[in-house]
Amino acid sequence: MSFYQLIVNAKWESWASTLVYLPEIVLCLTIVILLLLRLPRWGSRISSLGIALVGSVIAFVLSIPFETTAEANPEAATTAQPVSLLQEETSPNPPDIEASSEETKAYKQPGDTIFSGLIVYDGLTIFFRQLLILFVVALLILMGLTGIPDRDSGADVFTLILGATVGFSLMVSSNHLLIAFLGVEMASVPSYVLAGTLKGRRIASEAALKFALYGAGAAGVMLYGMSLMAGALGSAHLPTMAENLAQLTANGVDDRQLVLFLGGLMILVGLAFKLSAFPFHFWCPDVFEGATAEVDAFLSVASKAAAIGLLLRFAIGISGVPGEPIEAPAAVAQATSTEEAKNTFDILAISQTEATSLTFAAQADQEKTKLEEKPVTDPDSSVVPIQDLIVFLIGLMAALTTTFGNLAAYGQTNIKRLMAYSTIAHAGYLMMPVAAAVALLSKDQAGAQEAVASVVVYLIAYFFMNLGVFAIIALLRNRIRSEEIEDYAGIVRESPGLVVCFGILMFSLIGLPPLAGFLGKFWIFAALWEAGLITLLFIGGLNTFFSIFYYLRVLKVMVLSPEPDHRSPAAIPIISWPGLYVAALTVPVAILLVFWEPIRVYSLWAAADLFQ
Amino acid sequence: MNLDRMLPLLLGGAWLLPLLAFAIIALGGHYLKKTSSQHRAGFLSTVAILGSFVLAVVAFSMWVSDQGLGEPHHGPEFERAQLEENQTPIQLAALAEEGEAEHAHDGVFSVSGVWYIWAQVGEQKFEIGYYIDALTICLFVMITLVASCIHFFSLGYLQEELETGIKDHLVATSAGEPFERVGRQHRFFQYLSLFCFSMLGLVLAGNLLMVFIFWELVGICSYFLIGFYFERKAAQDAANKAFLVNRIGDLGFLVGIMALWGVLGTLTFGEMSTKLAELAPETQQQASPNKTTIQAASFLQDEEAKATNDEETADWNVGLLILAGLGIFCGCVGKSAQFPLHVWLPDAMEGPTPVSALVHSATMVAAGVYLVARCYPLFTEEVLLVIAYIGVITLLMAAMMALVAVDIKRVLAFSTISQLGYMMLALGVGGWSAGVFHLITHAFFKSLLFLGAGAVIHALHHEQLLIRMGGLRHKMPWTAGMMFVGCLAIAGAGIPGLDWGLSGYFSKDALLAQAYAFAQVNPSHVYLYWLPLAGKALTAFYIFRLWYLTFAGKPREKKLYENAHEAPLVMLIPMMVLTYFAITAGWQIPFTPSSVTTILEQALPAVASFETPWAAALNYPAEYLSHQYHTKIAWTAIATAGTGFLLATIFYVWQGLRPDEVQKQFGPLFRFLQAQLYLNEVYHFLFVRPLHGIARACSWIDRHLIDPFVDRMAKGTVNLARLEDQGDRKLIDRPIDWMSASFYDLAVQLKATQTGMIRQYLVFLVLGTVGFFFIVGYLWQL
Amino acid sequence: MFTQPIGVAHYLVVGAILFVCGIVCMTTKRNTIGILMGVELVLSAAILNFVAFSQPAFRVDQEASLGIDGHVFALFAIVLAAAEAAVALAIALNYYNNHSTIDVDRAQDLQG
Repeated sequence: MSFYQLIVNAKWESWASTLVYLPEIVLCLTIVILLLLRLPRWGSRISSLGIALVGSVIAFVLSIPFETTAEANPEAATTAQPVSLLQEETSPNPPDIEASSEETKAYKQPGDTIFSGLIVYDGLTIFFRQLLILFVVALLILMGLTGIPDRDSGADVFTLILGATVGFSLMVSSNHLLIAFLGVEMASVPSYVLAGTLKGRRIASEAALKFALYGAGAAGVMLYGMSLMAGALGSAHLPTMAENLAQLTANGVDDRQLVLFLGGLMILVGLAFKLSAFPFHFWCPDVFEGATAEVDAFLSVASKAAAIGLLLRFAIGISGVPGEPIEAPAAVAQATSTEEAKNTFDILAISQTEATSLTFAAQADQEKTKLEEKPVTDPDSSVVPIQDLIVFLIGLMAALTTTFGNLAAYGQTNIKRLMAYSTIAHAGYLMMPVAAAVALLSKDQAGAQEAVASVVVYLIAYFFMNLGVFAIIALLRNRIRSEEIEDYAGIVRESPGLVVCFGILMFSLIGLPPLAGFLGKFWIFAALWEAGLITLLFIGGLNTFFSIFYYLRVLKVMVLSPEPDHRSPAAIPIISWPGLYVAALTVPVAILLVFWEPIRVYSLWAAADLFQ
Repeated sequence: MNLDRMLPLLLGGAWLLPLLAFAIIALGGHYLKKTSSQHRAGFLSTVAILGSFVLAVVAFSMWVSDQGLGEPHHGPEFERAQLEENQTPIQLAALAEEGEAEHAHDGVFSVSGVWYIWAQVGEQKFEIGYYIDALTICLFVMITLVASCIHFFSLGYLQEELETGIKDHLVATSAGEPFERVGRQHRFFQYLSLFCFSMLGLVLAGNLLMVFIFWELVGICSYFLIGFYFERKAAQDAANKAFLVNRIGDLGFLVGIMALWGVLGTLTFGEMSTKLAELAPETQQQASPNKTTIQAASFLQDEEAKATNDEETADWNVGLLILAGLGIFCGCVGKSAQFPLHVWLPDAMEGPTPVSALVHSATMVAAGVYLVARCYPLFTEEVLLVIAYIGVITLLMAAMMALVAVDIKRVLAFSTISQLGYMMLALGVGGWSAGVFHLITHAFFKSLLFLGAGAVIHALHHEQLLIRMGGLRHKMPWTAGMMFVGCLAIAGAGIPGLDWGLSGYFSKDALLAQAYAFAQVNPSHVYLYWLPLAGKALTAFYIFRLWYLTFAGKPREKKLYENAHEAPLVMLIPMMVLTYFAITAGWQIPFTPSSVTTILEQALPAVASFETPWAAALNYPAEYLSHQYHTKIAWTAIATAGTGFLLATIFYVWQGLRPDEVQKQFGPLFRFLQAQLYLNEVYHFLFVRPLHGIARACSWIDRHLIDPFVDRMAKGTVNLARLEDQGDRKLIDRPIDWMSASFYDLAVQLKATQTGMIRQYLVFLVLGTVGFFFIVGYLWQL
Repeated sequence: MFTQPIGVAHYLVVGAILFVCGIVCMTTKRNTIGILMGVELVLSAAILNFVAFSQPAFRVDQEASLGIDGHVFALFAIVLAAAEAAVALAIALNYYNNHSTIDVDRAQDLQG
């Protein structure tokens, strides 16, 4: 390809990608404006909350995908295969832009990759982006209602929030390890600072410190793992990596197994940190207790959502490409031994001995029989062992996370700490369908799609539930200046509407029908059942059972306990802006079950593009 | 003027007006209860019944203009017959047949229809319908007229019920002081209106089931009205007794209805004659309808039996028909207080006097007679015979009991029973129009007598014993005069030669003439003539005894006499109206050859009487043929009545014979009669005591067998529950508590892992990585 | 290993050693800055890895290397490490302002 063509391709690619990337760009512009408003003297009179809200609303509107008709674009027609500057030419192109179709496209459609393969723009991206930006809008409204942050630090906090949001959207749409890391960092670092707002408080600074140190450590480990994995697979572009992995496993690799495994594990450590999975959750309770309730909401919803999105991308992306069958590994090995010989390193020389291949194959078989198995509809793919490994890893982590989160919440006295453990537990629930999706990748693509769809549904429910709870915590904190559960005693007599909403949200968090939490949990358990991960299903159910206690204990204190004498009045009528806000969050929780079908259809659409 | 349309409309309206009054008073009673407004209830009721009367009169005039007044059967044949006095009735019958054609009718003219079908089971429909013929019209007019008069009367009689502090001395209170209560005049008129509605409905009814419904309704109204002073034990007992005895009759009535339905397949009056004709196809249908002579009847057979020559089916039908007749008559025995179910009527005098006047003399007790008249075609000869004999027994027995009664209303009650016996007798011997005519005239003079008695009672402030009255004609001249007219009417006073008399004269005469004719034709039943005649003497005696003891002679209680006063106008005017009708009901209607009798005869049933296997052939002389004995009977009757009158005068005016001496002489008989033939005691012994015994036995079973069983079961359940509670607590709660406690401990221990030391966190970061590496690697055998 | 020409493996070993040093430093230091230094070491190890993997000359087969991606990744990582360090230091300063110490072991208010 000539240089000219390269430039032309690059131009079109950038232009089209920028169009699709507008929401994030708008967010960035908002950040810039917020920062620049500090300069002139009149800048402080403009409400930074307003600017932030306007910016996020515009971003939300722009994130709604639009159908475009193809316009004749002579330049696009000549691009047979837009090549990534970072990509090798042998890497396969996203099928949508193949010039096999006569029609030319002027705009990127859902399913394409943008910025020359770095970022993927598909249904999942659209969903997450909308979820995140909508969440930011709601959070900004909450911050306006509770008055934290105040005017002085408002611009900073909103800058950080918007910046973190850009990072989150990068995370969920990453197609390349670099973007993943960039997103993680871009999301985490502002979070460290956000945890430390309310600078005057001791525990805030402690929380921020713990968060920062732990996060930096985890990020470092993750980067190291990324380096190992990228090196072992010869590319940092996820689809390329997946293909290379498939080829590798098809040819019976063994020496690189260790490196790959270690790399993958370390990347998972970084993701687990973001997800606050056991045993990488230790930051979570401290940070949640130290940060303000609004920031907690942000961390618990947006952060987890983005993290699970990245986990989905990574887990499904790396193992999604089916490799060649390994029925005749020896023959294949013979045929490709010359080429493979070139691929070997000195120390990581691939020994094409049949023994190893057979061992690997034998191991794969053993692992298959070890897990609860269902008839394999697809032909045996060589990457199935990788999938099984990922399933086991994620499944184990999920089980440990939920159990730990639910049990450790029993003894909590601080409501935010309790919600931190609740967040940990919910992260565990969110990881389960990821395992299920990977488990179904080779067997039942429709099932895998449903598993990913269940994540989407759960996140929708989770959005309302957690934001609602933290909103109530924030509003009550403003009145009674306390976040201890015992100080919530008897609030039902002063703010009955609020307590009713709180009750609905608690029941939804438990996952009882007919509330939204049940909807999410149901789909997750359905996906687990489809995938045959019965142990995980059982653990999930058991944990739902465990979680009843601590959620309802708060409710019980609120309703049944006698009011303490020395508490400030805490009457928040439901007909007031804060009350209506909480009600607006609770009503979807209560009635989401009615929209069972539309939500299902939407989530399946969102999950569809992962499985092309 | 379309009778088919107008008559149901008019009579239906007349029927429903009292119901409207009832509904308004019942629902708005609270509003009307305010003392000053209680008048309104009475006015409303009276206006309603007057409206009914107006509508009935309009209907009557329409009927008359369409159907005419009927023609008497005193034409040339009658005169011819008179000439040939010595001819036997058979010959007379033959003569009658010659003159048939001139009097041929098309059958009984009636308007019948259905208003509403309230249920349908298969082919059988249960309807609310009407059957209107001359009988209905006449009875409507009579009932509404008498009821209107009595409503007016009641407005005056129950004046005291408008007050709030009424003292009732006949109520037993625990402390012994007189019982005080609030007046309840509106309740009285409410029930009175309901009664009028029920009675009119009964008369209007188009089928037997509807009759039964209203039969029961009048029974209930009677219960309410008798028990108007319900705080008195006597009133409660009387009301209960009336209702229960009626119920016994109604049981027979129901059996009769069912049997009838079984035989005929229909209960509608309009269809009965057709169906009866089907049953006996070979009887003469071309016979003149105004004859109840023998037909050349064949055995009662239906088509199939004829075909198969099966006599059993025929017997079955006959049996059912007889059963039906007896059953229906049983209801009449109960309602019309015939022997043996007459015991309730004397006690029913506990109710206020207007009630006695309306319900227990003119209307309700007449319902039985009406039913017999309406169902006349159904009755076979056996049934008619039974009816006649029961009538005879009743009339004699009641007359004897009236001789010795000391309560003014009791006398009149026994008199009513006796006169009802007369009516039944008349119907039993084939005198259909005589019986119904006597019903109408009796309504007038009996209610007049009762109202007079009521006036007297009211004047004497509720004194009812004859032996404490006397000489009241000076104080209450009008009442005395009108009551004298009533007494004359009931005795059947008249001048035979001029053929002029009061209403009772004509009706009693017709009755006795028919009985005489029957006795002539069927010599074995001659007592059916002599006994009513004797009864006539007794009637005259006791009724004039009543009058003499009340109005004549010297006053026996000075204080009562002092306070007595003439009745107010509101009470006198209804009595005057009734007096007028008591006098003129039997006369010919001016400018026409007709009278009430002829109007009634328009409804004479076209009967095909059956010759049944059991009864001997009975001849039922046609009524118009019995007129020939009219003069002879009249003289005989007057003679008998005069004897009675004379005896009464001797006893009570001229003091020729002393009543108490006679009493002593006929001591046992006297006591026997005064105790109403000890029938009440007999019934009590035969029925009430065994029932009480059964009730006691049931109560014993309930208390000693069933209750302990239930209690034991309850205790057992409680013990079982306790056992379960123990089990629940020990077996279930403990493990669960243990489980939750252990989870909680585990949780607290897990919480302890969060030490708050960042370095430890970072160590766990590394340890976690390494741990996963080794765990998963171990499992994957890397 | 010490006898062979310098290949990717050697870089990787150095990286690994750096990594382990960094981890040890992270987990054992009580000083906040010390922990951050450990973090930097870890990040440096990763960066070194990236650079190592993108050296075509050290690979037997040029096509299988990360190529320019590795270098670019390394640059980004450096920048990000720097940014992170800056923020972490600011947070440490804030912590010092509140607690008058940068001893992480004294930060135990939040526990349980």
